[in-house]
Amino acid sequence: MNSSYRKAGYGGESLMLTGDLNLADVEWVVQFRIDNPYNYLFKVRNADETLRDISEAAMRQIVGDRTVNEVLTVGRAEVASEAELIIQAIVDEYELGIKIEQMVLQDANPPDPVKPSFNGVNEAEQQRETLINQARADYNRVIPRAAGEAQQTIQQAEGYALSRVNTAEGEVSKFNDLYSEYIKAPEVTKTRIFLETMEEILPRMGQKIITDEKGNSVIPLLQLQMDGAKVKNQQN
Amino acid sequence: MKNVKGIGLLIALGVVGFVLLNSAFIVNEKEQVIITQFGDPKGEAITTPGLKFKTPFLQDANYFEKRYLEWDGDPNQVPTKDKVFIFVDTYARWQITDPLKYFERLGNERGAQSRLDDILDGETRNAVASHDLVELIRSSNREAETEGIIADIVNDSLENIQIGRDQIQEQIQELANQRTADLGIAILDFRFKRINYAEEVRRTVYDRMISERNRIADKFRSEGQGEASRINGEKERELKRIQSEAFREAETIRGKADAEAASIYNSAYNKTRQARDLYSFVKSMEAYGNTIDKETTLIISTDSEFYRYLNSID
Repeated sequence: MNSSYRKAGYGGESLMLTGDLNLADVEWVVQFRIDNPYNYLFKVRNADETLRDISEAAMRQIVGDRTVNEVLTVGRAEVASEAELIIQAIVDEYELGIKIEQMVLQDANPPDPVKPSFNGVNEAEQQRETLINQARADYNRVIPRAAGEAQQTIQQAEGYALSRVNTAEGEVSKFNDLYSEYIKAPEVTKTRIFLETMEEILPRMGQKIITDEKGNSVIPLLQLQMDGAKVKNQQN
Repeated sequence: MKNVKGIGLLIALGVVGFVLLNSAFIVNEKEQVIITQFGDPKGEAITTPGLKFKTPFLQDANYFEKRYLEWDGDPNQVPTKDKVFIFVDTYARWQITDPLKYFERLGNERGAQSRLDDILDGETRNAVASHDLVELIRSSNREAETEGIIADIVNDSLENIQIGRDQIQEQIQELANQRTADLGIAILDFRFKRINYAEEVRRTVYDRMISERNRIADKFRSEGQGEASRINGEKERELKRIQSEAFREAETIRGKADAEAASIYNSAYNKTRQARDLYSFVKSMEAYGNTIDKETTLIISTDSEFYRYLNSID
């Protein structure tokens, strides 16, 4: 088994034109064996060199029929298998006595000066995904929480409703009980309630002034006195 | 005497041997031979391998390759029909088909190679100059597989061709063969090995490729920002919807509860005149209780109801 290696450093050998008139840097390896020694020795002078020429011409033919994008990404495997077929066909035509064992596309790259911008495309694609993922994450952080808070608001309203109705029912029930007593003796009940209330509130009261009808004229004076007391309080 | 005889025999044998050696020659599998006499070819070429004889001294055996031979073109800078400067490197396979003619016209392989240089390089130049670059590069009208987004921005398709690489190679080979027909050689195959841009052109191609990729990258980034904004907008809308729906529902619930409470109150407080009386009485009592503290001054008129009550207590 013989091998023929091609590496960058062969200079122009790996750089080639694509079908859309761009450039691509393609490196490949052809492995072959001699399957017809007679042809290999006696039919062709310099069979190895001939294979080298064939492989280069074939690779350029294949790449020349593809876009740079196909060569660098989607069409890589196809490039290798097509090239193998073409190389073998030409080898048979030349009667080199060689069988191509394997054709491996080692590397298909953009040319060096263009590489950073190709990498830039990959980076931009990553950035796009990152931006979208961040927005989704933000969405997922905010929306479920808002939905929970909405439930809270509604539950609070329902709590308010229950308490409102229950309070009303309670007060009404209390009133109704009172009312049924009141109906029996309205005046007495009223008086009782009034006095009970006064009993409760009078002790909490500050000054108590009792005037009669004729004493209404003292009210403004009282007013003044109380204002004075207020001022005094404030000075203290 | 014996010695002299012996020496004479030795010399005779030597002479015979020398003559034989000069007359016999070996043709191997890879070669063919033309016999020349004083430089003129004699008879047909010997193409079968084996031990052969010629007239000694007068005739010479000239060996030629029988195998397929290589020819490697010089990389030439040539403008295409659409005025793109490219380097074209070619190779060919050829064979000596008529050793006699070959010997007469070309003499030896060096002569043949230089003649092939003239013919093939010339035909290559002519062919390149009369075709557009794309015709030299493409060999079929294959449809390119395109990737959506990239095809949107840059031209990711392949231009169709009229003739193509294969046919141009064949044309060159055919034209060259017409010119080599009387040289005793045949070109078996001719191919473009390498076609590359001239340095100057390459730089502009790089610039174009870079600007194309930058446009693609910009598109990706802008797509990301656009999609993120869309999701953000959706988020804002969803947030407002959820919050406002919750508000609406909560207020509705509250309103209904208030209404229900009101109707409960009404059903009790408003059922008779006496109930209304009682209610306003009880409420004003509660109001007293709530508004009075130690800062409050009570001024009671003696004719007020309250005083009457107080009086009655006394």
